Amino acid sequence: MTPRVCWVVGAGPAGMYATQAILRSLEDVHVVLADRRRVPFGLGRFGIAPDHPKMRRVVTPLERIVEDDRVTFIGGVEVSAARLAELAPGFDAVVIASGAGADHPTDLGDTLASREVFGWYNADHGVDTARVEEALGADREVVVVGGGNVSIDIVRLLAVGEDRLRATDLPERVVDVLVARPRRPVHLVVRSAASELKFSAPMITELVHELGLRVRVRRHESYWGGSSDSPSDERRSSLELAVSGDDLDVDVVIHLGAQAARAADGAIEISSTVDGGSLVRLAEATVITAIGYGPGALMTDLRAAPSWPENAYVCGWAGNGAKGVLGTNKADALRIVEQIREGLAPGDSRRLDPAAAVAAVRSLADDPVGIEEWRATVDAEILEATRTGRGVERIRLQPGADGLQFGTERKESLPWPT
Amino acid sequence: MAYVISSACIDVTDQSCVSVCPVDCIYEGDRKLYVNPNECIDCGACEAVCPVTAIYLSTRLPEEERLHAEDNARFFAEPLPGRDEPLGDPGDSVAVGRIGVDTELVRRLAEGGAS
Repeated sequence: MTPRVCWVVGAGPAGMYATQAILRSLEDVHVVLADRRRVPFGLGRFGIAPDHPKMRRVVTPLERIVEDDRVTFIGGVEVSAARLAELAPGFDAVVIASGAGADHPTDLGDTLASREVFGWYNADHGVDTARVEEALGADREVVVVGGGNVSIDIVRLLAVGEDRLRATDLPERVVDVLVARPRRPVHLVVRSAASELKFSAPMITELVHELGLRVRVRRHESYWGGSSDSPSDERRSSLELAVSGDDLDVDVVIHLGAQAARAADGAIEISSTVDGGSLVRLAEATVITAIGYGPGALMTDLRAAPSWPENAYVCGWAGNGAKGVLGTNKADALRIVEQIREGLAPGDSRRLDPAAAVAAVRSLADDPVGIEEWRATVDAEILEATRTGRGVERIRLQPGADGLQFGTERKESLPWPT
Repeated sequence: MAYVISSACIDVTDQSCVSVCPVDCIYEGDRKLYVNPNECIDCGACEAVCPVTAIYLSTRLPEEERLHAEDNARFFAEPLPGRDEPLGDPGDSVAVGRIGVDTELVRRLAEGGAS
């Protein structure tokens, strides 16, 4: 009997959960799991706040999936819409889990994108470290624009003190830059009213209760007192516990119902979305935008193509945009695999056999890596952690041309383990 | 901390929480579901999808539901009725499947509700 063959494009959380759901629901199947990165897990590895160690354990079950005999991981695979459409007929199903694209652009001039900032503090690869460190190291206010969990993560890491930072999984280099920053309030600018906030109430509670930060919430909306849109009791209480007083005396100022704009002289002006009234003017500020992501290039091109590959399914942020928590992608994966089951032709697969399917996807990459390189990477991270006495969570290696490369934390490479 | 499934789940066991749990740490007893507190990563996905609002972070449980924090832990740490070994931390509720047994507390609550 010929096994079914599925190609999962993207080994981030959505692709991993799709792979898991396929393995659990199809009897005899092989999954070719390909990623643009040279290591698996995408934002599971490079997107979860390094001061939330419990959340970072989300990769533990993913480690088992990538090691499953019915899965072939291939890293370093950049796939175009045209090549995907060309290869798709060789598979029983193709799952597109390529994630969201770049940060939405703004008209705020020179800003840091959230991807650059969390990529930097998560020791990701391919981030312009010098640019981020120059912008964050300067003696300027920082304004974070956006009302999602990413913006709160960034605010939290910019606001907490050295003791807290040293206790996280942040690379030392990142901690050093953050500690050297002058203590200035961090401004979080959120368009939404309190009732529409996307970040969860516990995220604000954490800032105040667990981290002891002085947080001021300035509400510029006119919702208060309305019945239909007044915040839930829980959200209200988490907002009420933030302190009032002068902005200069606090660590974080959260502006709700507010927007940021760059004035002609380069200053950042924070104003009310209700009446446009100016609230704060900062002569010099580093602006970080975390207002969501556009679609990735692969999805944009696939949607623009004259026909959609009939056996291709979209999972996670690639289709829906960056919404929900990690588990939302898992439910999405279950839904998609149900569709795949219904769409399968009866009987045996009449597609490529697993070896040919693997070869077809590998042929898309100039320099593909596989599970052997991933295992060597994990071993080297453990070895490096032991050698330097650092936590293994702080080391993010990836297989490169001249050995194992560090992420944003260091420039040199380690030799391949022998 | 960890999330806790409280009494509202008894005889509902909707399972929406199971499908969103990224670490498969929600296990099915007989008439109720249980979160393994050692495996839970506090992501909160389950709380948001529960149709009967049975799930709370342990620190935010309503007073009358506090006993379920300990009871969720007991489901894994102590041998269930009729078993010799505790369930422990299997790390994969889907592989374990339906267990078909509840803790003493839940059995009592379920029977009390039915009478």
